[in-house]
Amino acid sequence: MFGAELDQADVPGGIGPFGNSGNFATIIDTMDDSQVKIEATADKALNNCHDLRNLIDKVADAVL
Amino acid sequence: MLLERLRAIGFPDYASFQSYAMLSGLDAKNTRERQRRRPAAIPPLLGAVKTLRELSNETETLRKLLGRMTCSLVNMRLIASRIEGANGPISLMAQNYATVLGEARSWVEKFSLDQNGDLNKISNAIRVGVFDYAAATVQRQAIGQFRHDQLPSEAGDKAQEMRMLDRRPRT
Repeated sequence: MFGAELDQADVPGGIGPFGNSGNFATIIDTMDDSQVKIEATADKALNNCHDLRNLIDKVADAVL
Repeated sequence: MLLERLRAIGFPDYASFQSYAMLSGLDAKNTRERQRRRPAAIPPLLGAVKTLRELSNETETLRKLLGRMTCSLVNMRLIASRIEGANGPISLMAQNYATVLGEARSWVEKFSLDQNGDLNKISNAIRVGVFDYAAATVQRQAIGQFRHDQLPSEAGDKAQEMRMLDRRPRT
């Protein structure tokens, strides 16, 4: 009964604990996709932090 | 309603918008009055505000992605339990992975959502810095203008008034 509910749930891409998970392949694909996005986003955030640091140094040079 | 519109264009609160608006206004004024050289601090300050907004968006995206990944792992455990029964190797792998992801998510949340988190501290420092810089520049320009204004004789002693205005209030 529980499995049938899982399969019928209408969440695209197998995302979410009660989504239409399908099979391991779908889940692994989703995780791969998420991991690539997480790495890219974390890289961007880190670059933003470096940029921020440089900009604050420039402000300090200009003002002080 | 105003705050909702500000949030829609990327400002978390009115104070952030106010700082940005003051600095942009100052920059626009400098550009219009071409005789003034653009102060060196303005471009990096504007850049810092923009970068900070990007950083907030990136951390929010990161938080959502980590949450989504956790949900996929729950699905993985559900399917694994059908195949291998409870506590099989795949379930354990998923559980370990979920623990690591949970920690990563809590670091990101501590960084970005916590009132005393680093992102809030950086954000406040930049907001206050931008506002103070812009307000001080406007005051300096106003003083410069008052110095050159020709006052009628009945207006009193300009030097004395300047000294009076320059006096800091005792706190």
